[in-house]
Amino acid sequence: MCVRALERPGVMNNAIAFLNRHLTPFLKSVLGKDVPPDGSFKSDDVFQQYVVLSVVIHIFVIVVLSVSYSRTIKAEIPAGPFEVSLMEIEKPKPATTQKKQPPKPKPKPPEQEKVVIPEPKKQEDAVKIKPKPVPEEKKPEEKPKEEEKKPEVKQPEPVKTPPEEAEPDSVFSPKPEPNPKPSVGGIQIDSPNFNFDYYLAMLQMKIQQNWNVPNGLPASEQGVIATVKFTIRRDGSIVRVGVEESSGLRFFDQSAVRAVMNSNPAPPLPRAYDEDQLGVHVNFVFKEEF
Amino acid sequence: MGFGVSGRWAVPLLCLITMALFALWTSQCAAQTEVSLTIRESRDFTIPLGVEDLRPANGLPAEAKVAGSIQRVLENDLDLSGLFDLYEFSASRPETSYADLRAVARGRVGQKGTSFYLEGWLEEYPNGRSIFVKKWTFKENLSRKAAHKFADDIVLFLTGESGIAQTKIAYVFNDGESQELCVMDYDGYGRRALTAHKSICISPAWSHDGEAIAYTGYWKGNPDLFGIKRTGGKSWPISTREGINSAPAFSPDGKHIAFTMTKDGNAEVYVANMDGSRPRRLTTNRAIDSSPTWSPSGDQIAFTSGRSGTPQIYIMDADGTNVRRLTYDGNLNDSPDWSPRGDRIAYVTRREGRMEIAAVSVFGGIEQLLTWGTGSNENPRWAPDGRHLCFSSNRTGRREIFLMNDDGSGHRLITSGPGEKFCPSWSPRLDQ
Repeated sequence: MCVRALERPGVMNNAIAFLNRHLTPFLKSVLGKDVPPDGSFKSDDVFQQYVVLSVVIHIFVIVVLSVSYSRTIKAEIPAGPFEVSLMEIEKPKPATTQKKQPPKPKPKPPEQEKVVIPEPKKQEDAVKIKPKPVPEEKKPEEKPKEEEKKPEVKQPEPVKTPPEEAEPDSVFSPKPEPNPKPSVGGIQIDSPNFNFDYYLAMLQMKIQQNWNVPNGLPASEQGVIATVKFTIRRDGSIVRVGVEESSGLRFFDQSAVRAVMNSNPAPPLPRAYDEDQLGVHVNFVFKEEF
Repeated sequence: MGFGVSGRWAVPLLCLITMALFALWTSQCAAQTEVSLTIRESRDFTIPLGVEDLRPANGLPAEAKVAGSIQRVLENDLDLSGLFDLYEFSASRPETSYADLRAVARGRVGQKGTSFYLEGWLEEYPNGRSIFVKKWTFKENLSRKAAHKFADDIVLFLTGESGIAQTKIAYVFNDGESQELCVMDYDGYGRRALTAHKSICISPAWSHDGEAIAYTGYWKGNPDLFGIKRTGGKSWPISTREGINSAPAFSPDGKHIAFTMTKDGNAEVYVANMDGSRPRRLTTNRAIDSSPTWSPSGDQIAFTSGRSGTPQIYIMDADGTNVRRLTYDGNLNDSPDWSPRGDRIAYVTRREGRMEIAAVSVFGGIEQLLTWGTGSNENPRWAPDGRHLCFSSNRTGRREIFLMNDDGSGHRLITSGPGEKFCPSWSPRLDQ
């Protein structure tokens, strides 16, 4: 792979340009002599320079070869023992105490969005539709055939045993928490009225799916944590994304911001929530499992 | 020198360090590419969703019948979305039966004069607070459409992206005498022919807005490129230049069309205006270059090329520069389709004499086989949500259209009846 790279003229030219640029001042300082601008040396100097150049190139080739070899090896190592999750951390938040919930609205609130489905327009200028080759539109009642399996609708199961005590850093799961709180798995919200657990679970799931955790993160007991804040509008669009608490690692913060950006649009805000937007804080936690 | 290193050694030593740093940096770059392969690892989430039987609003038998058919379509849509763990919901059961549930879809169907309405809503479980409520009015023959709309809104309110229940699939139908262009709903219903050329049609492709379909037709004696409205009608010529005009792909901005032509003696990829005018040649290679597909951003094109000796998938910038090879596994890779999510390209690969469907990250890396060992599988095309693919397979004895999830799971046969169906192409989301 490396040899192929060296064959490419661009690589070689770059290397020579690189050497020229950095080697010349060095020669100058090290040899204590001026390097003539046209690069002409006295014969001794020239010999010395070529020897140096040759040594450098050999070392370069060896280094690149060994690195690229170790790289191929590395590529085969599975992602590693890292488990990453968006997880809950305690944050001072005044509004965690339960505010009074609005009374349950009736199953079908009054004003609904009404849509009339129009008849399809009759096609103009019809090429006659060939009746024979096209199978008749199947009636919905028609049995699906062979592999077309019916949608699997599960019968509810009896109560499941409570989930095993999950270790704190694999908290992320769309399953409901035993004790739903306004902050679900690392997501906190600005509005105390907003206690739609389904929404936070969906949002968390979406961000988690869009989070591309960078490589090369340091292992530490506390883990790497960044908090990103943003606002969700009623239609689900995400605006005003910013890093609220940096992890100290810029590329990690950026991965968190990108995860949020890529989750735009979020689910539209639920109808029973009466404000027009929602401020959200998400903690991105990277922790190595030992 | 202060370090006691003679001048002779200082230079190579320092250069060595620089080189080592440089090498380290390149390996870092490679490591970042590796990360992109792991994107998919956290995809296997499903949302526990309850679906209650739709009720007839006034208890009329006609309402019950429509409600029943909407119910089946709705459940099929939600199941096909691959997003949910569906539960049959009944309010009379105790809450403890539904420990996992987050949300429940409910609704009722009423009759008003000659038309019907579906009032559908999604509510949080168990507290019953409203997530959305909508009412659709329709004639009985459009009950499927009402169900699709309800399904799409459920997906929208839970994921932020509308579902694909209202999309369509164009495909080619061969009844043994001729091969015509057809369109059906994404679930295989509502099939109809768009053309009646009594000739051969192949390789349909949707325009970015879903209003038109481009295809190659042989009915004038030469494989020419035509366009046709998705509702049918008269087709118009896009490119009728001598030789092959095939494999069309509309640009995402709706301004250009990429396709293959042999007018210069060898199959090359061209980009022309939407009406086929002013074609610009993008590839200049003595090998065959064909089957272009645009990246969703419109700034790159993937295509098949034989320049390495075997057909492989390549990516180039949309102006034809910066060509790089994407696939290395296997000796035949063809028919690429760029995911609407932008991160993967699906294609066909020949393995053990059969055609299989594979996908690979656009950054390169290990290909993922999405089909294996069941007939020949061809022509993968992404759904607009980037979570599903349609393709043709002869695993049942003749070519039929199948759907699957983007990880290769959930194969689903959606066509039936006589004749061969193949060359599917999934529409964008349609405003209708």
